[in-house]
Amino acid sequence: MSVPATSITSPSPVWDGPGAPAQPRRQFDWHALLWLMVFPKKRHRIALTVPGLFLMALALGIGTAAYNTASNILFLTLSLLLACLLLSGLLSWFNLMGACWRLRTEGPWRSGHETLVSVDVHNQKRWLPTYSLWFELATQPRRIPEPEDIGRELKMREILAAAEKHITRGLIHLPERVDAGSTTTLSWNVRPARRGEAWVDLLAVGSLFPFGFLKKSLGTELRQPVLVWPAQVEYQWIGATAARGGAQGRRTSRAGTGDDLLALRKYQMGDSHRLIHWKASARLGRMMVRQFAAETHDGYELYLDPAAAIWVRPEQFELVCSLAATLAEDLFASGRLRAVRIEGGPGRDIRRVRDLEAWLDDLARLTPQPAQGAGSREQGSQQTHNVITFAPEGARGVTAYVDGRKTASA
Amino acid sequence: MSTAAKPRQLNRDELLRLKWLLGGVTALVSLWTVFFLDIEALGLVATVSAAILVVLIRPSLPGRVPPLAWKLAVPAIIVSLVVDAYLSPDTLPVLIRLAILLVLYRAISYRRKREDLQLLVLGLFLIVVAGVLTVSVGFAFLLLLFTACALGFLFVVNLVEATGTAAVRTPEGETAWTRLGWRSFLGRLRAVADWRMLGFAGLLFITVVVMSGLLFLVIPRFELASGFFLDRYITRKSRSGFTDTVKFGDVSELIKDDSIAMRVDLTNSSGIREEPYWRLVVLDEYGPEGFKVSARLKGQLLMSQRPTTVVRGRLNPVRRSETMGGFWTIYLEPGVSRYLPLPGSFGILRLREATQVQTTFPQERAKSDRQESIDGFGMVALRTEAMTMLAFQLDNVIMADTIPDPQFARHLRGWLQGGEDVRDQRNYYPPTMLAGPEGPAHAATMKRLLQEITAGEELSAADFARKATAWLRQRHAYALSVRLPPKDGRDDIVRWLDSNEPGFCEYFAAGFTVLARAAGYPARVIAGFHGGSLNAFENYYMVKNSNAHAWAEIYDGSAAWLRVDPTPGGGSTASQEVSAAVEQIQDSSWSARWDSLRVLWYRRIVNFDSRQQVEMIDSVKTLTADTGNVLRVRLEAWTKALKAWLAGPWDLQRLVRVAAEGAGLLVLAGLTWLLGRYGWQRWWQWRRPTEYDPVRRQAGKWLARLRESEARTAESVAVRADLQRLRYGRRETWAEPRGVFQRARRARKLAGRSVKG
Repeated sequence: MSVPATSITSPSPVWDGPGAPAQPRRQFDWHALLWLMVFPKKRHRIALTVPGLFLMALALGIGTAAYNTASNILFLTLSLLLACLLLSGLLSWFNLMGACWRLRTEGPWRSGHETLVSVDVHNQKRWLPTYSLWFELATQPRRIPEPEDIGRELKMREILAAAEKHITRGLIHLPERVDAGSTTTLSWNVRPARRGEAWVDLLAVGSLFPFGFLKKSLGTELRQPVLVWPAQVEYQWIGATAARGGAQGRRTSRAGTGDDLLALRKYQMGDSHRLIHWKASARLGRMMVRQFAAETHDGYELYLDPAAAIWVRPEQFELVCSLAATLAEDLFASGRLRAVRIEGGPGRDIRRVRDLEAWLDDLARLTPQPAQGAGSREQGSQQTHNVITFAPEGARGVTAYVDGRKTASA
Repeated sequence: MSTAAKPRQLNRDELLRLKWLLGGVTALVSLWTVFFLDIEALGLVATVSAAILVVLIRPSLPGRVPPLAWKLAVPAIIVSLVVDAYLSPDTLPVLIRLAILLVLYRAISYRRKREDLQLLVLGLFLIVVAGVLTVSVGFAFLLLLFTACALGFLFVVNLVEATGTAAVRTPEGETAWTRLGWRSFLGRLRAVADWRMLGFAGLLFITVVVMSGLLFLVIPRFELASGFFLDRYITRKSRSGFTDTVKFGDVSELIKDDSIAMRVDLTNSSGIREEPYWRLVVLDEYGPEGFKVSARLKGQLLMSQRPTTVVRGRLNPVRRSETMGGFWTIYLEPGVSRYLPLPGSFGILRLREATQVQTTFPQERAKSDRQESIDGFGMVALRTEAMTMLAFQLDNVIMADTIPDPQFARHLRGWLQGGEDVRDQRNYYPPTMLAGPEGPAHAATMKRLLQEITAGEELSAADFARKATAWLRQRHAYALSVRLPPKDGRDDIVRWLDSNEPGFCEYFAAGFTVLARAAGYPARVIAGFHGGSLNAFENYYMVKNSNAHAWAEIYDGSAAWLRVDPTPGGGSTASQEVSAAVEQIQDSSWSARWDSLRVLWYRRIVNFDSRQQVEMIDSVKTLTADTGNVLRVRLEAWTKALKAWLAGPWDLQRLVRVAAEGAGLLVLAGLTWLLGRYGWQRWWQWRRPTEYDPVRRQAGKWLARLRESEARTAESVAVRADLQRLRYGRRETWAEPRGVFQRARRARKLAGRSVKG
């Protein structure tokens, strides 16, 4: 499954659940229904809760007493208990019938930052509400790292336990009922721990409805891919090395508040009336405004070499990705980021937020690479000055250099 | 004024309040079942019920109880349990009282989910124990009520659990629900109540009841030998009317009680030609205070005791014409007696489960003539009085007014002729049946009275009975209260005989017995019931405690005991012929109607066993087969008739007539449909005037139809916009609805044609 270019919200078009609209209506089949009663669907679980176990024990006790004493009063009580259990199953089925849900991730996702996962719940029924559902969610990296080698063969339990550390699980409850025909949204706050590609899964939807005797759980296969950007990191800006003016290289232009007319665009709420280009508006039949170019500053290019030979320690590699991301955002915010490049890949001019996000996406996916040939740094780069490079510092630190001079460290 | 609509769901505080309400009601329902039990806990139940009611109305009260009191409550309950167990002879009442205290503790304290479930379990315990011990029909209603309350309670508990996963609340917030006003709370309940949901809930409950009924019927029954166990842990006191000792006045006390003592299911009630006499206990020993069962008779009964479900009444077969066919199923209420009421001789007596039974009927043939025989008493008794309603069945009943006892004459002769060694034998018949008031004063009085009755003649037992009965009736009137002459050293019964005071049945029976014994005729007093009434609803015999009666039996000297009822208004003597079929007294009152429910309960639920299960299955099979046959026959007949009708000669007149009839039927059906639809729309408008609008509904339907069609012409787009305005927009923005609907119809046709094209 291809990962989207950005990690910005892309609502899943897939509704899942017994009432999902996309589900084809199957012809009713008695055999299937009977088989379902004996052997439930895959990942559909029905378990007894403690009150349910107690009820079963009570029914067993009353049944034994009834047979022992041939007392019809006890048989009557036993029949009522069994009928209540049947009713519980029937109501539970009614409750889930017509209910559907879908998973939405609100982006962007950032390592160490809390983000929101939404579950939309819709009740397709015509007049019966849906009560008391819970949703089991989990998020995990797309590739779970192998457990550390401890010198012996690991047991399955240990492997699973090691994998479990990378999985974040959550449980959200439906606090109120969902009326017939209505939709409600539940949110799950999650803080991703690692950057990179990850999955968000809606594992199961369950309910104790109506009496809490049976815990019914429907396994779902809703999954959303997400891309987790590197974490923001505190760094120290050491040198007051400013961008050198008059640098050669390609000029970039982007929208700003300068004097040069850059383009015409459609009017958006909040635009000043002075920017309205009346002639163009009359000609085109809709409101157009002038877009001016920003004042040109010489900016920086970020260059990152992910060679494995340089970044031996994984934590330093993570730090350099975080530093590169943080620096890129800060420089972009101050209008001083011109381009970015990763060794072995094409350079990218940064003009809009989308370009920055693409850079962050690249950083999210970046892994240490085998060393490239010499002179590759020059390829694709048209800027010779104001190039920020990165190098490890000590055992844990990372330093950024501008044209070879130390500028920042983390 | 807030423009936001109040949510149609209860919030957490309101749910907690509702849970409190339902919990209290469930506790009260379970407590009320204790009223059916005859244990000394009514005061406790009343107090506990009052306490629960108070906290139900004022839920904030438990919050004011100091925490120390809650902590001390459990030790206090344990102490009361220990004291109660020490003082009470029975185990079960102690447990029931403990359960009541625990229900109180749980019902008045603030509960979490676990404690809610504990309350339910305690309530269920009380209900089940009460039901098992009493098998009363009231239990059935309370069980249904408890089930409904418990299901609702569990439902709300589950909802509260679901809402409780939100943020943690402060202690003040946790008890906010106790401060909700009843008015606002009930108003909110009314606001969120949806008649469809309530109807659905009612339907579900009915489904539960039906399902449980079906399960009850189909659960297989096995005949296990072990009997009921709870009755060992509780004892009951019998009414004083029919115990081993009946003092003067005991039976007449019962006469004032109009409650039902027993019910008799007869397969054929028309065979009863007179008001039956139901013999319970034979009182053979005279005492100054009244008659009682002699110690020797009690000993003989004890010796015959064994656990059994079957008692033989007769060892010799009888002619079928003499018996009343079918089965007599007798439902004896608890507290009547340990002696079983018998209308006469019978073939087999069957009990539902193995019980310790004592009987005077020989269960096997005597091995020698000298073997003791007590079958002339005709009694069947349980070892102890039944705790609950007792059901037993008789077959081949003979309602005679004589009790055969050929052995008695032989034993009497032997005793009279025999010496001391014979008189010391355990054959106890003669001395007891001839013993009366002793002493010269009594002898002189009796001699004088007998002279008045017999005038010195030698009479047969039957003649003596007739004359003595007439003498008693002439001399004494019937009254429920007796004013005896002053004491003069003679026994009460002798003083009464020698007076003209009125008396009740015990005095007449005892008086006759004493006279007969003084005259040398063996006689005894019988206590039981006389008469009854037929329940017109379920066709069974109802015998009330007010039918309690005492009469006498006199030995005819050769083979049998003759029934004598000397009480004025009582039955005839044995020598009189049975009158023609007496019209049965039919009871159609409201109490009879209610009582018929009880019999239905006994018949269909309490007495339901494997035999009835098999019968039910057979009857269902037969009914299905018969119904199928009937339907098949009818279908065949109808098909034949239709064929004959079709094959008949067809002419224009006939064609026109058939066409007219068909058209008339169609018109009628159409009118009915239109009327129904109009009524439904009007009703909907009245129910939901703001929501229901026929124009909006129609627009919604057209939108759905147009949505199905895939063609998107300019016309369909425009008409869709208009339909949406009709469906969702304000009235002021509406185009003329009829025109819009016509355009929608045209657009749909066009879309259909373009798809086909």
